Amino acid sequence: MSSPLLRVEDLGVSFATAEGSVRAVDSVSFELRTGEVLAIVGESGAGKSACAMALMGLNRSPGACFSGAAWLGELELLAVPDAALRRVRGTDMALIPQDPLSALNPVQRAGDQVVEAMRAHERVSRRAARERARALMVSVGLPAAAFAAHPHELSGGMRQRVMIAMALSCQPRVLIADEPTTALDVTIQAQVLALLAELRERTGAGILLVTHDLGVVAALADRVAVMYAGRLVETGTVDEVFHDPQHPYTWGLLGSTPGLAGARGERLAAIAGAPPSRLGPDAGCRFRARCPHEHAACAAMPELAERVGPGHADRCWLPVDQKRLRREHGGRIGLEPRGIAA
Amino acid sequence: MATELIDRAPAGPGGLPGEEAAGVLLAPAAPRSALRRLAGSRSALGAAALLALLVLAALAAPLWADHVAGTTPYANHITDRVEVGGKARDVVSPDGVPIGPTWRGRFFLGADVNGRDIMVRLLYGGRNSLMIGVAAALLTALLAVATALVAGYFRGWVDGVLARGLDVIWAYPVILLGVALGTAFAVGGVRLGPVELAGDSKAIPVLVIAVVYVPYMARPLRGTVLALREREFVAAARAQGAGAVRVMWSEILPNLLPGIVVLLPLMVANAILLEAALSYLGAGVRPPEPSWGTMIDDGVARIVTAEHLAIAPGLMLVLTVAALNVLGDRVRDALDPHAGAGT
Amino acid sequence: MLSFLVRRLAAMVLVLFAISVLTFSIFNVIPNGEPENRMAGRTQTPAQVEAIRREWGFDRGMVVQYATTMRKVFTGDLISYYNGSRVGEEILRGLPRTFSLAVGAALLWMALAVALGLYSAVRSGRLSGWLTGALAVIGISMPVFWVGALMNHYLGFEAGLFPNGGYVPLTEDPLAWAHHLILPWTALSILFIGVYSRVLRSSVMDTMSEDYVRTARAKGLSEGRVLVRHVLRNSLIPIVSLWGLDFGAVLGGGAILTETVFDLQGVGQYAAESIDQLDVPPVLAVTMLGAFFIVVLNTVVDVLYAVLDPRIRIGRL
Repeated sequence: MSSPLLRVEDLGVSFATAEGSVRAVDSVSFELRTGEVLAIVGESGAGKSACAMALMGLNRSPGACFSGAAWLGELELLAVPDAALRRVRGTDMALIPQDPLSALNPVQRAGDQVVEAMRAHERVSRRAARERARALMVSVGLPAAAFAAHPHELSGGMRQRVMIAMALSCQPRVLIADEPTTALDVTIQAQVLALLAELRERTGAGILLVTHDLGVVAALADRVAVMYAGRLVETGTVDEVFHDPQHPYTWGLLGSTPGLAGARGERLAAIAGAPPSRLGPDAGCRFRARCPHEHAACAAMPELAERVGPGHADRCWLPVDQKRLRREHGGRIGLEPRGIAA
Repeated sequence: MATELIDRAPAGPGGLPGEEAAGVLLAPAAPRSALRRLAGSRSALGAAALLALLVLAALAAPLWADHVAGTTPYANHITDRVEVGGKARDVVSPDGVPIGPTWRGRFFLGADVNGRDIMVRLLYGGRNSLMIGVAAALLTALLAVATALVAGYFRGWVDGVLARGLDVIWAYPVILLGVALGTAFAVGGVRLGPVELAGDSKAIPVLVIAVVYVPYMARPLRGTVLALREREFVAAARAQGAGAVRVMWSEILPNLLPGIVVLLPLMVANAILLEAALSYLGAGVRPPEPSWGTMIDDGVARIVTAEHLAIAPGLMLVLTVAALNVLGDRVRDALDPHAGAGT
Repeated sequence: MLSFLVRRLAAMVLVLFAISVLTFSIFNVIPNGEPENRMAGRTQTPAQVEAIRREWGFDRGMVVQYATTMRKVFTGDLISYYNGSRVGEEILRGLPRTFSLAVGAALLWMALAVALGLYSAVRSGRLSGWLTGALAVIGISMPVFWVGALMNHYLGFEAGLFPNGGYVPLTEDPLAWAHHLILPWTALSILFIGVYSRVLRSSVMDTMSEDYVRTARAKGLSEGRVLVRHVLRNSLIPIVSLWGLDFGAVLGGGAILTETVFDLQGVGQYAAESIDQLDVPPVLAVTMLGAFFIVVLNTVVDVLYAVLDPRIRIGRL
């Protein structure tokens, strides 16, 4: 097995607020390999974007505090100074953002924004960069006229293609796609997903896919990491996590997703309650307040451990056979009375 | 329109000019939390304290005049002598140079060429400047709100006429209009229905300043009224049979208030500055009545022989206007927490 | 584009008409003596006075008077009630002075305001950012004639660094021209620097939280390039409109105070002095000139807006 492109160890991100320090991301570890799509899934506020932005160094600010390590090859991303990180951005690591309209500079032509990305890192003449940008934009499915268009003149899907062309301009090894389809129409979503899948084949880049949409995960990802309240609660291949989910939160997530849950004509379920505040120290498992299977052991934080098999880890105290049993017999969190558990 | 004096200075949140000003405040913060935020800002408290001090000083003008300086703002002491450091000195020297600050009761800040006590005139002048500033700002607000309500509510040709009228005043350079009106009124006096103002009345600068600034406040407010008129609660009130006056007064006006409150301190600041400019050009407060503007005018004319004549009233003016501007900024931040964080 | 210009032109004619009526009526509500007597001068004969009265329509109604005066505005025959000098010539004499003041000051205040506003936005939350913000507040709180007089006194009179007011034409001696104008430029700029830097600061701070600025950083652009090409470029849009309007106002005689303090004898000072004499024709001409510049610059600004912000198209203005 080749060494990973990106190795994140024990990443922590916290932000200073008026009420105190908020831990947005807590001891998150994962690896991303060449040509692999790793999805980080969770509800909004779970810390998945903060995690991705921390890798790019885009949420560095006086009030932000980072811990752990993130290795991009030999480079430790959290430790390098801004100037060095700047050379990595765009070249080794590129971002595909959530909302392409607000992510594009409204007063600059689409093509110029792609050219600018190229010329930020490579000594190419303006003319050569233009030619390359034009070719690149066509290769991601944009019409030639898009080069000279302003962002507001393009459709949502075309804007996202511009962002993708921009991200690809210096052949990055790692693409960070932050909710790349959320702001798009459903039909356009499929096109953009197909494009991302094709890119992975063509360029061999590793894609870190941040999303809350399990449909997107199923369509694109190889492995998935489920995040809840700043921590990973389950990791594994898409197959493992979708077909044998170990953490009650993952069950809830799968149960609340149309298309996945509805396969057998089940009703969609909402997960009751809201994620906990992350101001104070942890009091046990972070999901327990919403978990129908809470029991005494949950007062302590479980480790993320490979309980069912190699590569498939979860963070839940329930014994594996108990989990399977409860999942089969209506582990539909939130719909069941709490009394069934324990 | 802009001039060196104010440009569109009574601009709205973020100092942004014109139409955006009041519109931003359609969804202001709750009054109580806004007040709390305001009280939590050190610069707001400092500015408010400074303003309170200035107002108190102006109110105490007769006390200082009677009990400390022992004179009036109009009394000449050209031939008097005053004791400084044990030596008797002329209040105004034979070659016409007035005495500088004595830093004691009489002529604390020196005298002007007519031998009048600068400190006393500064306090009485502060009364006039502050009063004119506040009165003009309130009158501007009144006129602007009325214009905006009528134009924005009735729309159509009423709005067309009023909006074009505002545009015309707006396209007139502020100071030029102010000086022209001030001079014209000063010569002929003004008759507004039953009210008749003599040419030297202090109400004339108030009226002039108020009229000149109406477009700066009315234009953004009109935009807000136009927007508010489309909202559901206005439609609901009309559906219940509320008349035009009723809707304007109890549905639309309360929603304009935050925008007006934000603009008021800035309007007062600009009114005080314009009073000074008009007085400097001889079209504001009439001598011998003191105001900071007329005193700066006096002082600038004699700056070569007696610098203190220009510096003292100028500093008072700058302090007051700066405090009002800071307070205005903080009020805006408090009411509209999303506007750029303040200094 | 053409229909936009035509509409603007029509609006301008309307505004100029309304402004001339306004000026004319302001001065007709007051008893200004009998202008024909003053225009005829000291050695007047009754016949001269009578001729003037008939020529200007002083014996007729207000409307005729207005019409006569306006005709003279456009044929260039307008003369002062006060001393009979030709208003057109006086304005032409004042315009280069006013232009010199306006152009130099506008460049100065824009450059410094951009520097100061950007700095205080980037430094926001630190002492240096707070200080620049405080400086801007002081700038907008000082009356220009006061600052101007103090500068004139201390830097000009006492230190002898600058001449005491006055104007030297650019064509005569460019160095002396600039030397005479440095203080007026500075005095006039102080207020605008204060206003513009505050507008720019809040605009920059809004822009910095935009997604496309994050995109620019994600591309690996240098911080300087991010600030100039992405933050500043977008934050300048509101400033540019202010700039055009204020420049127009100063061109049209709006800098009355600065011109008076430094005795530049520009158009604004001419208007102020004419008002003092209750001399209607020059005031009428200058206010119309001022309004003309304001409306023209307003149009230029709208066009510039569409150039700066491609989301706005001329056709929709």
